[in-house]
Amino acid sequence: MKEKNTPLCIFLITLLVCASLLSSGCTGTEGSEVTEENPGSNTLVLGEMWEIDSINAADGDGGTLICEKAAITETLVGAKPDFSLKPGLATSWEQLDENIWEFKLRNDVFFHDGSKMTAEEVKDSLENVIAENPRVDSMLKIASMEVVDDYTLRIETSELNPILPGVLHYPDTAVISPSSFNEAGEYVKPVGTGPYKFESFDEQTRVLTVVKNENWWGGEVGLDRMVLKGMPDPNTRAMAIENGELDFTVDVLYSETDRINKLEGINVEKYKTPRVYKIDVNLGNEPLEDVRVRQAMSCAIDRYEITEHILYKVGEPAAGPFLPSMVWANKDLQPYTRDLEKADELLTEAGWVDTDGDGIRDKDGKTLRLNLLTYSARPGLPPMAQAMAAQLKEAGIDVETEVLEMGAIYDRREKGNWDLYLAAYNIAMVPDPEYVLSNWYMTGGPDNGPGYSNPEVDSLIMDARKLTDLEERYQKFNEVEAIVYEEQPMIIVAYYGCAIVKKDYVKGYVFDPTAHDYRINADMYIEK
Amino acid sequence: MDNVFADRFRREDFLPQPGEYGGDFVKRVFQRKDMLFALAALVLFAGVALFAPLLSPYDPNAIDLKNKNLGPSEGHLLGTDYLGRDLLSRILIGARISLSIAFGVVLISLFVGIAAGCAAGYYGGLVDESVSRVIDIFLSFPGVIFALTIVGVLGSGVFNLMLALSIVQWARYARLMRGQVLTLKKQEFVLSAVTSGAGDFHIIRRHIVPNAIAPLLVLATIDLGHVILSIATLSFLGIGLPADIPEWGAMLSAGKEFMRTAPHQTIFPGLAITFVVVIFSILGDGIRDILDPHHEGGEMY
Repeated sequence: MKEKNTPLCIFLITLLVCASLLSSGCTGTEGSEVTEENPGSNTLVLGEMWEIDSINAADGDGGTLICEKAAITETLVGAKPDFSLKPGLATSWEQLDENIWEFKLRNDVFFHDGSKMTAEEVKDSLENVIAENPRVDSMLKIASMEVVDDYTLRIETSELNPILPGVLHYPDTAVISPSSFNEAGEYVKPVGTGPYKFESFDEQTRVLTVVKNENWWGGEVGLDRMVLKGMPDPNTRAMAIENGELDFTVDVLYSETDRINKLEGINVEKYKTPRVYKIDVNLGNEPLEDVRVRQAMSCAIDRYEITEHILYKVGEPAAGPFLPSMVWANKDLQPYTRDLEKADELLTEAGWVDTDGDGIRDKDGKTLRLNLLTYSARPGLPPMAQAMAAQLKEAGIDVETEVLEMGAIYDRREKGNWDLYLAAYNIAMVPDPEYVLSNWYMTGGPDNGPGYSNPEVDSLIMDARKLTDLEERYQKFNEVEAIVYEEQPMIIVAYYGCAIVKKDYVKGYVFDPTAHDYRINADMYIEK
Repeated sequence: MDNVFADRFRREDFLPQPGEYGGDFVKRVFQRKDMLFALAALVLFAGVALFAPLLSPYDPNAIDLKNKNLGPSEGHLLGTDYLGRDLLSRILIGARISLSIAFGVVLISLFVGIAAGCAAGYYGGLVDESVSRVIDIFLSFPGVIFALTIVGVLGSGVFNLMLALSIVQWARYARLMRGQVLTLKKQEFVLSAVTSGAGDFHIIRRHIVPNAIAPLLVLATIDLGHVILSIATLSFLGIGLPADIPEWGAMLSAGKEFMRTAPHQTIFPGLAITFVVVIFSILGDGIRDILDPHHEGGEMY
């Protein structure tokens, strides 16, 4: 029996080997054909960090992709690296009275379909995003819009909204042409004003291709074509750029950044992005309502060691909720440095001492035992949680880390069955301090997880809302920052980082710290 | 005589003499070199697991960020992981956890499986119908996915993990036991016990279980390896045990991020898993060969 089968087996194996050789040969020639076809062409292949699910310019993920990463659309308002606002498609804006704003638009902007951008199209585009995206709607608070002339748009808000120009920097509010929709009014593709034009989006492979906009109002565009591929796995991105499949990508594994930087022809640049790693402290729990315990915890955490050894320097120790480079940040604040003696002093003062010699502090027969919840979608979080638990244990606080699904975390927080929650939060959805401070620290704010309530903070934020003078406004917000730095209702650990990985022949890239992940700038070009 | 080791053990009265009950089995175990080797490795492994806290040179959870991702060296025999924890200590403590969960799961499933199988096979009729359908339902789910769902609902933790894996495993034992009981029920020694008026429980306990147990023990031995693999799979997927319990699968999963900068973090836990699973496979295989020499093999998987 066996002998009969042997020739058949050999035949099958040969067939298999042939097939695999053939197919690999095919792909090989296919690949070289592409490069031969456009020798020395100016095409950049980009490995995007999320799956490309949507190309809708008005929804959260799609909007960021289309505006910042594909550079198809542009917003009315831009932002400088220090997060102060600068003109975009609008040249200037003015608050006529409490609720009325007037935006002057550029008069030399054409959409990719060749039509001119006027106030009418801008109004339609904003109305579309207000209808599509409730989050943007709640930030804009627009009651009505009026086209004054071709290049002037008047906006009336339903209530005093000093952050309106800041919200118009948000990528979802980018201006799209009416030709983005078909006759039935359904969204088909993004037709914007940016340096790159939409060419194709393959729903199957999720590859987005854009080409140079020859008539961009901003001047010469560096690349002829850009191909964006969604690659959610950091390992895949690293391998793809190493074997030459990609020219540009972001956020390979933090631990690999140094190894990849040393490779021939690839460089890695590390930047800070407007996002922080922070711990929400449940102020409803007895040991944590004591400010001394929270300060002691902040003193026990070694922020420098964490950013160096866990984030591999993709990120930096943080003091307050804002990057020091932001124009409104309180620059006097310094990150808490590790000081176990001070932590010991504070805890002893608060009555927490280790009486039974097990290394964990206790008070009135209760041991200082806390849980720390976190999730694994952002790779820095679980090891950071474990490292902080170990550091807190050295100060006599027993912390048990729990890595849970988002649903389970919501559930636990809803029930109040949590002590500490480590997460990464965006701090510049809108380039204005009010958004973050009022969401995080005002009584009943939507992101006020700790349940923090301080009348002084509330009144400072309310006062600042009424101020139009930026200096005075920032002054009030600096005071808020100083108070929450002292009281630590949220322990801010580190600024989030972004590692830009690109081939050496990609030139002219400038990192934009105001982008959500990263922004592709029109000046980028390839020089082989 | 069959083997020098066996001779020595017999003289010391550790092993049954030839001709005694079980003597033949032991004799054949000692004839097989692979089983002997596996047995020795198992004893070594069980010893390591039992004395892990004494043997491990460091606290398995002590974090030392400055010494992260170190390769094997004198200070750390197997190197350190991404938080600077000693890998050897973690693997040793992990052995204890894997082994105790595996034994727990197999014992629970064995017990439940035997009880259900006996009931179904011995009483027949409606009892058989209902128990068999329940077994069918449990067998129709893919094991790991079913366990994932259960752990997802119950939450993580050693006990929940054991429960989930037991729920997945018991049905196989029950089906095997039912088949055994069905053939045994018609044997003369059982029929004579029935006619002499013995109670059902007595017959099951004294006549049926001892005669039906052999293939279940084979299954259980091989299953120990499988369960260890399942625990590792669940931990690898991230919903097995809490983060501070060192477990091989979880170590593998955390280490894969450092595959290219510090590969020892995946290699050593991986080797540990392979080692143990192979031991139980060899043992299970060997026992089956001895107990059922006519069996051509392979169906157990």
